[in-house]
Amino acid sequence: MRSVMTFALMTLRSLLRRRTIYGISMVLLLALFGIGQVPSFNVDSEGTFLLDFGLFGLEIGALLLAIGLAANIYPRDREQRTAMPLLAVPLSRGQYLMGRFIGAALVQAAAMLVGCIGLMLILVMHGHPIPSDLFPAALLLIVEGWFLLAVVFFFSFWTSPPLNAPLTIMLFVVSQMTVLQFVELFPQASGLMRFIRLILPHMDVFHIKDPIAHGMEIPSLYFLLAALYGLAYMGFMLAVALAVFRSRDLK
Amino acid sequence: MRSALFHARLVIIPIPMIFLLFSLFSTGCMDRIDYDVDEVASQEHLRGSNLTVDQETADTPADLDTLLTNESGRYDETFLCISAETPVETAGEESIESESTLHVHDVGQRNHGTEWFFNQPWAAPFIWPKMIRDTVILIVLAAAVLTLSGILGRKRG
Repeated sequence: MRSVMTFALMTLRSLLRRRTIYGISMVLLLALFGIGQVPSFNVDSEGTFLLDFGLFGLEIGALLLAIGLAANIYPRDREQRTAMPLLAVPLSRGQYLMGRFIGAALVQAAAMLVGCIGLMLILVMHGHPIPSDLFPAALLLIVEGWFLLAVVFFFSFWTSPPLNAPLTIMLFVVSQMTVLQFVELFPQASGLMRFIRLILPHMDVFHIKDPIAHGMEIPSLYFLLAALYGLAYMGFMLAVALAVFRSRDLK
Repeated sequence: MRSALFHARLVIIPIPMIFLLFSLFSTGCMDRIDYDVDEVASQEHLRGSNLTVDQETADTPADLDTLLTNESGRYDETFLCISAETPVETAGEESIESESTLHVHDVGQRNHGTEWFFNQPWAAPFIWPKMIRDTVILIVLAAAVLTLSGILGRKRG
């Protein structure tokens, strides 16, 4: 475990040296600032609009961050041949994956927290109250980001970085669909489509921006269940990613 | 010879699994195991508008005001439903035609205008057990994949 944490901190430092994280965070904060600048014309629902678009922006930010952070990690290690000495002695493949993942997950969580604090500042600057459910919502956004990170790691072991991004975005879009919407994509094979939808993640469990924006209370049990579901799916994706990684020949 | 047997097993093992999956499709029992709220919800959940209050039944203007106002004390247009068939004057004007079908719902009340809102997982407690079920299945599957890939990796190495 100590070697995993040491490697995770190494990953964290190397990711913080990259410009990707700062670029995406700046775009995210600028987007939030832009949402705050939309004229409200004294409409009462301005707070609803700010929260709705702000949380949507953060969700898209989580997707972009996951791709920006993790899509290049393994391909770069392989290309620069830094993976081989690491895997030859100090680390197993599982430890390598966990170290890289934990490092990227820490950066992702920090960026999401900064985004949420930015949204809170914009709400306060416009004289709107901060909903109490915004903190649990931030936690769910972090879990969603970690899940997307695991997906990006999974794709990075068997595809090239340019293919990784569209595949992850496609999974993100498809995972938002309901069963009926998904079956309508290819109704001739509804049974097969239902089975595929069953395997695909239900990312609608992370959608709580609507009730928060409209000031509705969400049961705390739901936050717990949604977070557990996200973490379980993340664990499954990491397990599949490791299975693919173990089958790869690094020579 | 041993290697040939190993590779043959990788091909043979999935065949009964695929057969089982096709059997599942053919029996139609896949229909209810996923949790699309539109499919698994009861009619009460989807169309629970029996608490609808028509404009005529609101006793006083104060009652109507209370019904239209949400917890934060602001008017919430989400719960105000106006039938498209009957022309109704704009919300800013005091007079509303007496024959209009303007009606209001309690905050949180499901109706034809807000179904999409309440068909999300956070508002449908009857699908939460399915989320727990999926969580457990995913953990078991992750453990199985890890064990299998470990065994296969050792054999390969």
